[in-house]
Amino acid sequence: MATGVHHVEDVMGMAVSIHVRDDIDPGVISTVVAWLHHVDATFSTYKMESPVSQFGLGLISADQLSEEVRDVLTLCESLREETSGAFDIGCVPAPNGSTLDPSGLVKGWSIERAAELLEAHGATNFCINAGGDIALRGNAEPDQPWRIGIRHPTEPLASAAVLSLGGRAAIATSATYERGAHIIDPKTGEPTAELASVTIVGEDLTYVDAYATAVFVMGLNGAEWLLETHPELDAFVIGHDGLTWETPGFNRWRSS
Amino acid sequence: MPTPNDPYDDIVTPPVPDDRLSQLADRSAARPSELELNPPRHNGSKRRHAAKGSRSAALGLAVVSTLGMAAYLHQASQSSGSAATIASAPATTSTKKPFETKSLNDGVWNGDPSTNRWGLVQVAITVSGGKITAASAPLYPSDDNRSLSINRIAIPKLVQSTLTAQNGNVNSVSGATSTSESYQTSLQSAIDKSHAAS
Repeated sequence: MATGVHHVEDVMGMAVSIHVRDDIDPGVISTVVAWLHHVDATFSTYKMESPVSQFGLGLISADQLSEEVRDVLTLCESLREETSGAFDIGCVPAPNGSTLDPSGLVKGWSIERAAELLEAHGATNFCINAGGDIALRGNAEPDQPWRIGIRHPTEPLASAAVLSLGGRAAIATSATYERGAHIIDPKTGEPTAELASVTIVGEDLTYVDAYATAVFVMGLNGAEWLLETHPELDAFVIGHDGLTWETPGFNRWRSS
Repeated sequence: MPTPNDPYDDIVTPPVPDDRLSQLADRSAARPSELELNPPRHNGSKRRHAAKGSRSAALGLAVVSTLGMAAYLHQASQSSGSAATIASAPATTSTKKPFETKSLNDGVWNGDPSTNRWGLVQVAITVSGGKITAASAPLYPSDDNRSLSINRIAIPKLVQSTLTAQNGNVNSVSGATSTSESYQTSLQSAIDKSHAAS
């Protein structure tokens, strides 16, 4: 039986599962949960009073933003340039009425920071899952890496692949298999439809999550682009026709 | 010169206005009125399909890197003067097809083997209809991991397969579970519940 601490927090409009396998002070979980609520209050596009909403609506200027918000928005702009606009936080209508929505980066970024918080408080074996985007460290059991399933696009309770991830790893999946869910192509303003799901495996969830979104928008050529520009990352792509494509390095993560 | 006891250490420098962020704000603020002024066009319009648009964007990236290779090839096999012809060709053609070039002759062109800081390399391109249709590296360094990763960049290839369903035990699930509502019906939710019960 697993020891450690398990906690599920409903925050940022989703469930965040925190599984720590070390016997840490349960107060550490409260610290992580407080961080996630701080992120929600700061970056939410559902809260009109959040600094990001205020900035997106033109009510405050860039120099009135905190260093934290400026850093995140600047990183978003760098990613927009790098992905030729496939990752763009400034063009799709947000719930607050503006068209500034950094949620696509904030999720991965905040969970990676949460992982750093756990590490700083002595946790070495843990897995944080925020709505399907995962940052993990160490092992699930002694000498047994975390077994991570990639959701099958049409069979919600099955996996399309099962991976063994240990040490420091991050995995994010971009997909639209849920009713009403969609990802907009910033260039056309229309939902993207070429792929069923895109999974990226790497070390830092901040980038892994953003590139999953960008590749999903770019389509299959996006996976080729990622292979050329980011050989340190691996991708697993599922098409609507049941074909899959993966980077040559992806197979090493498969669980035997 | 700051000392370990610098009394000004605690003084926070006022943030400098960031042009990029201001532009971002302008861009996002301008959008709603643009949307009102320009309602979505109908099917008959010339708007490109989402996938096609991104495909050509990605293709553009590929052509840029291939052109870079073509310039290198030229430089390796001929004088450096004509390398500039290929490298500058995109700028002199029409803006509609910025990467089209008339300088390439059909055939398979091998670059001279050349030693770079990773070892001996040679690249080859196949030109058909004036366009580069294939590129390969007949000679490349393969001594260390760094070279291997460079080879992977030079000849990227995705591995194609057929989707199968796996039902093994997992600790966590990666997927687009975007809302709390959808989480309730997810495999991840079942995993979390089983841990809560143990």
